[in-house]
Amino acid sequence: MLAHISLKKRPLGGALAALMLAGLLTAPALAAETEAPKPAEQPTFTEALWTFLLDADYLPIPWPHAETWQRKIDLSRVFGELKFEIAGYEINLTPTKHTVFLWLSALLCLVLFIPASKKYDEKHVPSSRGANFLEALVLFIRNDMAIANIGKKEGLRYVPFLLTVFFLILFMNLLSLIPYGTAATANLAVTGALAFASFIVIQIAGMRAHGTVGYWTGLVPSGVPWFLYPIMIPIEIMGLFTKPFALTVRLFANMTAGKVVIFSLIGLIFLFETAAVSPISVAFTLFIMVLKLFVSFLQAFIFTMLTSLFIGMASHDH
Amino acid sequence: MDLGFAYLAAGLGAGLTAIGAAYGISLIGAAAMEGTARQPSSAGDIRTSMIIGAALIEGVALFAVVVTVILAVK
Repeated sequence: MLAHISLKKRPLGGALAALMLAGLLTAPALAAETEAPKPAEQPTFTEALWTFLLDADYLPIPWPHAETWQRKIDLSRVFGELKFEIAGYEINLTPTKHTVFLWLSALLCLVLFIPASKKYDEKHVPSSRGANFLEALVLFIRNDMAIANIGKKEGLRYVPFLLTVFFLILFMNLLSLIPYGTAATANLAVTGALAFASFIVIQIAGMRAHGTVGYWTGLVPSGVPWFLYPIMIPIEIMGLFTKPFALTVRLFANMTAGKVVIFSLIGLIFLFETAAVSPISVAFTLFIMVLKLFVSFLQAFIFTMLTSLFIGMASHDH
Repeated sequence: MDLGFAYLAAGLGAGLTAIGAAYGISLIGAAAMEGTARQPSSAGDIRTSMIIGAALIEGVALFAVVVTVILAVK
C-alpha cells in the first residue's frame, strides 16, 4: 500500500514551473491598481478596504512603532524595478506583496517535502509526526483524487502535478492566517496562473489519451446530427475555457470573501466609534479565522479535486 | 441616475444569485443526507460527490457575482 509514492520524481520541476508561471503573471496585472494615490493622514473607509484587499508594492513587517506597528519594506528597492515595454504595453514585473508570499509558500513546499521524500526513500516509513501528517495528505490525494478520478494506471502520472497544486494553494491560504501575512490566492493573477497551468495539463491529458486529432474532433460527442454542429462546436470550445475560469474565480472569491468579512467586523469598531463593540468584533473575527482555516483546506481540496476530475473527463471516453 | 440603476441591478443580482445557489446546494445537501442515511457505508463517496456538486454550483454563482461586481464598480 505504502510501497511507492512517486514523490521525489517530478514535484520540483512542477513546483518551479508553477512558481515561474504565477510569478510572471502576478506582478503586471496589478501594477495599475497599486498606483492609487496615498491618502495624507486618515484613510477613508473605502480606501482602507482597498489597501486591505489589494496587492501592494511594499512588505509590512512587525515594528515597534507606536501608531502603525509596522514598517514598510519597499520591494522595488530590494529587488530593483523590473519594468519594460512590449509592443507599447508597459509590463511591470517588480515583486509585490503577494509575489513575496507566493515565493514563501513555494519555499515552504520545497523545505517540507524534499527532506521528507529523501527520508522516505531511505526507510519507506514516515519517521516523525509531521511526516505522518504529510503522508496522510499525499496518500489521500494519490488514492482518492488521482486514482479515483483518472484511473489506476494513468492517475499516477498526474499525482506530482496535483500534489504541487494542492500544497502550493494550501500554504498560500494558510499564510494569510499569520499576523502581517496575506493570502496570495486572494489575487486574480495568481489563481489565474494556477488555473492556466491546470488548463494546459487537462488539454495535454486529453491529447495523450485520444491523440491530438482524436481529442479535438472528439470534443463534440458523436451521434450529434450535423445541423447542430454550428451550435455544439462553440459551446464545447467555450466549455473548455469556463472550467479554468471557474477555478480562478472560485479560489479568488473565497479567499477575498474571508478578508472582506474580517475587515467588516473590525470596521464595526470604527463605525460605532466606541471600544465597547470590540469584544464582539474580536470574538466574531476569531470565529471567521477558524472558518478561514477550514476554507483554506477546503479550497485547496476543491481546486485539486476539480482539476483531477477534469483530467479524468478529458482522458476518458465521452 | 444611470449609475443608481446599475447599483440596484448589482444588489438585486447578488440577492437572486444567492437564492439560486442556495436552492441548488439545498437540493444537493438533501439528496446527500438521504443517500447517507440509506447507505451509511458509502458516506465518504457521497460527501465527496456532494462537495464537487456544490463547488460547481458555487462556480455558476460566482460567475453571477463577477457580473454584479462589474456592474457595481463601473
